Amino acid sequence: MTLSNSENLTDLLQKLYERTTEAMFFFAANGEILSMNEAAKEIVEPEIYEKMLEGEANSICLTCRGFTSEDEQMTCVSCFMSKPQETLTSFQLFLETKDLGLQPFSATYQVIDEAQGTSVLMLRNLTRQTQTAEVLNQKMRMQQVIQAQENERKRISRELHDSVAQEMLSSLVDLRVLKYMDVNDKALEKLRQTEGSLMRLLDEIRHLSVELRPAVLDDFGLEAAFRTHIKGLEKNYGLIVHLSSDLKQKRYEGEIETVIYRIGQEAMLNAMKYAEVEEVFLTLKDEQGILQLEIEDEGVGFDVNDFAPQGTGLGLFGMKERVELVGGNITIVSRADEGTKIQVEIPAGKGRAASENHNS
Amino acid sequence: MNGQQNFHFHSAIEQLKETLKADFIGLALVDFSKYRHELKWRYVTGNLSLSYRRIVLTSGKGIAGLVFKTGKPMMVNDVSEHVEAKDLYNYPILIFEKLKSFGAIPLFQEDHVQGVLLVGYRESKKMTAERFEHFKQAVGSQFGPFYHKERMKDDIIEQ
Repeated sequence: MTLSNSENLTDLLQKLYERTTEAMFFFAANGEILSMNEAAKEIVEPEIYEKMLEGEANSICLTCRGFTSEDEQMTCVSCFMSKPQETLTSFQLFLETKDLGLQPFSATYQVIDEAQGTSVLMLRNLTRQTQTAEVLNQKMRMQQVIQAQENERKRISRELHDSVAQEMLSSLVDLRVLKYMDVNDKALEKLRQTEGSLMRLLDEIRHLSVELRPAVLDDFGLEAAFRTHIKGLEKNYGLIVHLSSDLKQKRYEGEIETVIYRIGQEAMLNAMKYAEVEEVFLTLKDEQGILQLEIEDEGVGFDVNDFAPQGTGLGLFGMKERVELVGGNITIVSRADEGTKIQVEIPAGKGRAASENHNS
Repeated sequence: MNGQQNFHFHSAIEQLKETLKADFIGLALVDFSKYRHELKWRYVTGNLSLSYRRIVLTSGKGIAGLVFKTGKPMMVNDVSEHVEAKDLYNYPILIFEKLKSFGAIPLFQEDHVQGVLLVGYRESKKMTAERFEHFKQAVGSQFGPFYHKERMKDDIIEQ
């Protein structure tokens, strides 16, 4: 069978034109629509379809919302119709479609008859691909945000701890010196009060620094950081956390420790906010180079598959993102009235020496 | 906490509970011995559990912490209406004692908040403005030297 001279060719083309899911528009030189196939009819609003049939010039503009250029997502600047020679043959086009509203399409536009200026526009729906790209994009942005947030917290926390708190400590020392100088009782009493409030202020700043990013995490590792955090939870919120850990003094890469710590924090906060429990179980394990974190409560739970978050829903999302950042995985098991269990596994390689600095 | 033990706080709150027909009454006292002032619920009546003992609040945290910090009374007629479920964890006493409506007032001594008195109900809308007023009136000398419900001099605020 020779290709170009096949007797069936007209028939084949006719079938392609009728059956394809790709929308096709044929245009005359003035932009009048010469012909359009079924698939094209499917995507165009009936009213506009009628107008197109009437042969109005440039009637495609009634449904077209512009193509994607380097500068804009939807633009009519240097429209493919008016300057076909300057346009790439394939580009992304947005159409106002029937029922579905604005949708992205992958478009090809070609002049098929130079002499008469006849051209064809073919469109394939890109919605699925665009959505996939958007989700991917969002994930990458989320990871960047998490990293930026962590770095910024670390910076402010260090700043508070190393410079503000130090400065305050030295004025406190100055104040104490003042007490031993020749001052009367009234001044002495006032000095004591000032000293007290300065001390509290100093404490407050240290506390703030710890909340932003606990130095104990950087200095003494996960177990110590969790113990400090848990103590705070019990005091402020009356939540009891049973911590069991076989990590001892073992250290991991800074990034991994941060991820584990933040997920633990978030999970405990979630349990406190939503699970209606007073007790939470937290387990830290290291099995053959896999660092494991498990947080379990016996609270009200939720349906993992049909989940309408009470909060922003960003917490769980953020946990997943964090775990993915360090190449681990997270499992959330929960059922209504049966409590919630969150398991995180991160390949951690070898534990690192405690003295090694991994904060930079 | 000089002299606090000399007063029968327990009988005082029992009595108050009768008067106001309250479900729960708690008296949080400030521990000034620490630089970072701490508040604990020292005397309670009508409690459901002993969980309240775990709560240690600092200035600005929880109900007692807020009243301590601001020195202002606080009244919530309907907890589910005024406190979002996801923020409720900030007020553990409400969770532990299942309080749906409450009022809390500061107790002063020499311009310092010495304690916070909380009157709570396990039904919503029980703490009305009227009853809150009644509550404030009912607190008197039985609460020892710091029964002042207002600051004496507002211009010397230390805390």
